[in-house]
Amino acid sequence: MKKLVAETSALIKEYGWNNLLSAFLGGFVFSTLAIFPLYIIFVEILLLFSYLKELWFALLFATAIGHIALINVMAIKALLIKIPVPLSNPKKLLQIHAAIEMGIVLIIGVIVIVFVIPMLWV
Amino acid sequence: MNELAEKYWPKVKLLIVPYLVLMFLLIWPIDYSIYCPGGLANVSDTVIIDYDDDNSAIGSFSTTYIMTLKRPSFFQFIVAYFSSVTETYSLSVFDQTHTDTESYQISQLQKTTSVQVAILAAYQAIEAVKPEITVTEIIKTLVSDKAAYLSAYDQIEYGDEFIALAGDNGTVLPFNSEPQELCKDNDANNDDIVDTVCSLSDAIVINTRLLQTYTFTFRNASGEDYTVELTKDTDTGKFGFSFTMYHLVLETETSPDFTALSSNIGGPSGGLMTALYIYDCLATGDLTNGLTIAGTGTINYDGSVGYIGGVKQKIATAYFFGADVFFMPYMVDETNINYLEALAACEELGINPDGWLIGVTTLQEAIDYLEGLGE
Repeated sequence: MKKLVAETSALIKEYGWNNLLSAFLGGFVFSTLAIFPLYIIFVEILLLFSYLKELWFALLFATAIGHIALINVMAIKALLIKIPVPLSNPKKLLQIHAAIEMGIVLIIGVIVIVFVIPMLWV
Repeated sequence: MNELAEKYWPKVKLLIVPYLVLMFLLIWPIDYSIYCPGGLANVSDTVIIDYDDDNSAIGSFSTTYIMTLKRPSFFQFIVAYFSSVTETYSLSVFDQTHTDTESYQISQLQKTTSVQVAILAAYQAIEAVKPEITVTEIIKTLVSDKAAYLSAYDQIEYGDEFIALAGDNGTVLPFNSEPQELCKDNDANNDDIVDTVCSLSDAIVINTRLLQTYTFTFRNASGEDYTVELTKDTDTGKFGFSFTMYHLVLETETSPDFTALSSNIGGPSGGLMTALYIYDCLATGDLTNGLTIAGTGTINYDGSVGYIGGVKQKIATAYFFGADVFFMPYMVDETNINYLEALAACEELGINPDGWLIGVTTLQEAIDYLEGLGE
């Protein structure tokens, strides 16, 4: 954990907040443009075939997980364009960052599918 | 961000047009509606009967609801068109002239009155066997539809009871449980007719000849009377609302007590299953025999079962959700179209209808069938 905090500090120090935020903003904008139609497709199919709602919700959450992965992959690409051979390890750190976010979405997804849908649906 | 934009711009440029086309297909609404499978709704969540004879059902009675998707996107239309469980239709005149809120309110009114009729039919069916069960019927005339040009649109709510109309000569015409008594010759070309209030099948026709503005009295859901002056629309010459005559339950003279619960599912097609559930609550023994009993069909106050829509989707829904028996209206007059549609749907979906799809014309037939299962 201490090592991770130290590596993160090194990354921030090397790139600066502006470059990091710019990389994440770029990752978010481009990945959202790419993924957005998928969200719409699954919501529209959910409305058509709601008797398979658990499946469509699972696919929606899987899409969200993919979205997070894509944001981080693009952010890594942006950071590597800014400094092609960095001293810190942005790839490893952003992969850990993505894994944590994906884990949170996965837990939310399981709670929604297992508990919320049976309670609230119709 | 700029680095990514510079790196991906050549690819993005190529994809702009296909992307916009895809978004158009996904978002642009078209004037169609789609019937989709929905789910089973346990009737015990719809109505509670305050009657305890220690015979709780092991199985369940469920109504079958479907989803209607109005103005779908091109994408949804294409998917629905090729799916075996959905059907596409041009948007009906009703859908074109009613907002989603209005459609919802109408379907809730239909559902509320359907539960009341189911109570009437079920209580009447068991009255002879259990004399302690009594039900009294009352006929009410309710606002069942409103046009956008109705002059007091916001004051009059769906389901408000029509009480009286002040006529051309100042005479107040009360609209009580015998509307036919007020009915004059609706078609006569007679200037002496000041007002006619007629029952035409189940629809009520109000025919006023002389004035443009009339005073109506209604009773709202809280039981309070209110009076409004309604002016006819200049283009259509109509006031802009419809009445429907409903056979309802006079709760003060009905025993045992019941409580109708609210839910998002509307429409009248759960009437038969609601009546069956209520009958099972009141009868000795368990009609379900531990099975999941599902079905569809409106119920009339005399116990007869009426036509429903969305047959194919209801069959698919009941099958997907594991219903053991499925009741379907079987008309012996005019056409058997509901039952024939159901048979065709079973064939298309690969369902064996023998012993699963049960056509009934009355509540009593459904009861007899379930009692036969237990023997």
